[in-house]
Amino acid sequence: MFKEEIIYMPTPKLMARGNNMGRGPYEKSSIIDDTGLHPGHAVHERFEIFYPVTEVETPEGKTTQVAAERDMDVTVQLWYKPFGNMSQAELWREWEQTISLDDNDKPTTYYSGNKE
Amino acid sequence: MKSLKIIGLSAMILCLTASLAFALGAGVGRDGTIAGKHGKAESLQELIDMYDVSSCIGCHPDNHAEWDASPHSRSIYGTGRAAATMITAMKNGFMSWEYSGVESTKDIKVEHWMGCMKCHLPQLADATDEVAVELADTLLEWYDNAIAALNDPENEEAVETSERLGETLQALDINCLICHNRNAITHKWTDGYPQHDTVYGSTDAGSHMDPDFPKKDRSLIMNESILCGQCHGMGPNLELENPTQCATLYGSYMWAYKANGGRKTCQKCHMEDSGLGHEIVSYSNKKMQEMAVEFDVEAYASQWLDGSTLRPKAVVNVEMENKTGHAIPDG
Repeated sequence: MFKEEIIYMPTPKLMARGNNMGRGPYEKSSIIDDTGLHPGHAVHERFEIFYPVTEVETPEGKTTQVAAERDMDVTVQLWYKPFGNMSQAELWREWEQTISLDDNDKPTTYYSGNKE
Repeated sequence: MKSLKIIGLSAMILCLTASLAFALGAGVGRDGTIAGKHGKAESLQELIDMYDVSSCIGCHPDNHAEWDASPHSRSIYGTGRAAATMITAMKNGFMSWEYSGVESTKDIKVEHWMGCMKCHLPQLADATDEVAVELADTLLEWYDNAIAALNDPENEEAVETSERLGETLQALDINCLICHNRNAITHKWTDGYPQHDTVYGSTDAGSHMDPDFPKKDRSLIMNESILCGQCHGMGPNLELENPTQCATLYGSYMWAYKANGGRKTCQKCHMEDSGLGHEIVSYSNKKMQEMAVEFDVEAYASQWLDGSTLRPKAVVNVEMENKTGHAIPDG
C-alpha cells in the first residue's frame, strides 16, 4: 500500500568534476552531496500514510469516503547495504506496530473514516 | 693488482649503497625496517613470507583468533567479492585510462595498485613491480577459475586452481606486523623507523619472546585513532597520480566528531567497548550495530479534515542519531 525508501549516504563525485556520481573507489573523488548519518546529528523523518478509503452513499444521496480498513500494520526498517543492494545487507533496526483508528471518536457531522 | 681489486670492490659497495638509499628513500634508520633489511620482495610468496606472523600465534592465540575472524585477515580477498572488486578497479581503472601506461597486466607497476593497496595491502610498497604484475595475473586467474568452478563443480582443475590461488590471495592481509610494526609509527622522522626486530604495542620497551622479534617497544600512536586513520582515511588520496577515494572515516572523525566534542578513539569503540578486541568489525556485527545508532519510532492515527471529509492517516515519526565517531556509511 505504501513504501518509501530514504537513502543516507554521500554522493561521491566522478573524478572530482561535474555532476556525475562515481561508484568505484578508482573513480570517486570529492562529493556532490551527502545525506549520510553524521556523528551526533539527529535525523527526523515524518511519514504520513493515508488509510485506503472507499466511497459510500450518504442518507442525503451524496457520496463520501470512509476508511476501507481501520488497522494499518506499519514496519520501519533501517538497513545497511554495503553494495547498495540486498547483497550482504544487514538489518540494523526494525519497528513494527499496528496503528488503529480510534473507536472512541465522537460521530461527526462529516462522513469520514470514523466507524459507522 | 691488489689495490685495483680493492678499488673495484669499494666502487661496487658504493654503487650498492647508493642504489639501496634510492630505493628506500630518505630517513635515518629506514634501512633497519623489515623492507630495509629484506630488500624488496620479488614474488607474492616472498612478500607473504616477509610479513609472516605464524610465530605470533603461540603466545597470542586469542588475539590471533579474533584477528582471523576479522576482515583485516582477508584484506584483498574479503569474501571473494573484494578480490573481484580489485579486478574491476584494475580493468575499469588503470587498464582503461589513456595515460596510465598500462595496456596489459605486464605493464602494471606497484604504483598503479596503490589506489587499492595503500590500504588493502600497504606492504605491497615493499615489493618490486614484478610482484604487482604477479598480483594482477593471480587475481585474474583466480577469478576465471572460480567462475569456471562455480559453473561446473566437476571441473577439478578449475576447483583446485581457484582454491590454491584463493589461498594465496587470503595470505595477503593486514596482519600483526602491519599494525604492530610497519604502520606502528606514523612520524618516522621524529620517532624513528619501525625496526625489523621489534614489535610495537602500548607497553614500554623490553624484551619479547620471539627469536625473529626479540624486542618490544612502545608505539606512541597504538592507542590513537591515527593508527587506524592511515587506512580508514580522509577522502581523496591526493598523493596518488590518479586519486582514488574509498575510506573517509578519519576525516569525518576529526572534522565532524572531534570538532563537536567527541572524545573516544577508534580503538575505544571498535575494540574495547564492543568487546571485539582484534576482531575489529563494524556494520555486520550485532553489538556494533546496537552501539552505532539510536533509533526511536513513534506512530499514531490522525484524521485530517480535508474540506468536509475526514481523511484517516497514520503518522510515523522516526528519530535517529548516529552515536559513532564518524559518518555512516563510509564512502
